[in-house]
Amino acid sequence: MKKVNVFILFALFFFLFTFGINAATPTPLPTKDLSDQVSELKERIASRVAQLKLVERRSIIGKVTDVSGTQLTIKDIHEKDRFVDVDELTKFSSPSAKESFGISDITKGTTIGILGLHNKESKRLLARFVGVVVLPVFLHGVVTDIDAQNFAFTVAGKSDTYTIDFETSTRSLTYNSEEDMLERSGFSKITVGQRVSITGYESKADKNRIAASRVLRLPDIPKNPAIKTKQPNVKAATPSAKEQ
Amino acid sequence: MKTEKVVISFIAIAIGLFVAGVAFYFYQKSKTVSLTQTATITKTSPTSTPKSSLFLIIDEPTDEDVIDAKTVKVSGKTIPNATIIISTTITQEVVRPAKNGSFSVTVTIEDGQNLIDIISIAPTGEEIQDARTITYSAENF
Repeated sequence: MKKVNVFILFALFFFLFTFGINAATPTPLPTKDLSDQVSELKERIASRVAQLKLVERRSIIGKVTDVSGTQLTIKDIHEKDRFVDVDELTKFSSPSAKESFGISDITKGTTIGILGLHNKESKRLLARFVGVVVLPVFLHGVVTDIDAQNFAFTVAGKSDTYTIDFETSTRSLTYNSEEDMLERSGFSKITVGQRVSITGYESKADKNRIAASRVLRLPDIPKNPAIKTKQPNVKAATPSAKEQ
Repeated sequence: MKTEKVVISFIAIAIGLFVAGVAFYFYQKSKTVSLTQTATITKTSPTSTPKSSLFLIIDEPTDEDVIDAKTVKVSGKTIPNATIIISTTITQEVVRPAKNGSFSVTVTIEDGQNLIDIISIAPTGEEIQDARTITYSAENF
């Protein structure tokens, strides 16, 4: 019985003292909700930042190598295979299309430009804008032949030889290395063996024919030794009968 | 008695291995290879191609960048005495690098996707080419 009394006394002692204890400053009631909101907001910002870092705006140009469902495979300008995803938000365009243009109109070999969201992890591009583009040709080579009648000349590049059409709209310049400046030039100034830099567009009918929009002559800079040009025909040194 | 058995078995294994080794050695030595089975290997040193010191590093712009300005700064590094040609569809710039080989030029681009062609030409005529895809877009996506 004594033990019970002692226990009750201890219990009362604790209850009495504990009920009387209060916090030094009263805690406002809505604090718990606000802290929850702050932490939630922090989480949202963190996830958005991570999302932004993972995905970035990018644009690529390349030739279509495969079209399947909602995926396009293209070979970019650096000859790398790139995978592009298309969704309901993707907009398609083509300068030659008269009616609506979509993924079903894109065929293998078409050169397209894609603007979209690049995922750094998956290395895939989620396309937002897909358009058929015509790429310019930048040719650096040496003049091997001139067709003055047709205002055309032949340029040997590293891999192939091209016929360049000098059009009325073609802008011609010459680089003066001594004065380090560009000077206005013309078709008549182009000579065989000269180093030239051409900007233009490939002919649809002939891949080795370029309509030049700009011709830059570089007469003071030697030709690329990697470009093999045919030696011009040299007449035999033996005197002919007439000369004798 | 047990230890004796173990020692004897070990000795027997060692003797067996030794005998097998000797037999294998004599077998290999007695082998004769006919002249028809032999082949002469001539080691030819590869013809050394002269390494070019020409290089081109493009620092700016980053390839595949989407920008909202119609001018782009093209900068990088190459050999000091090179001639650099930077071409876009609407402009062409010829620049000479600084003494340390660095160069920087601002070029104009068109709406949409643009190809920037950069070529560095050494005084020997050797060249090195690179390209960048840059897009001008004000779209939000």
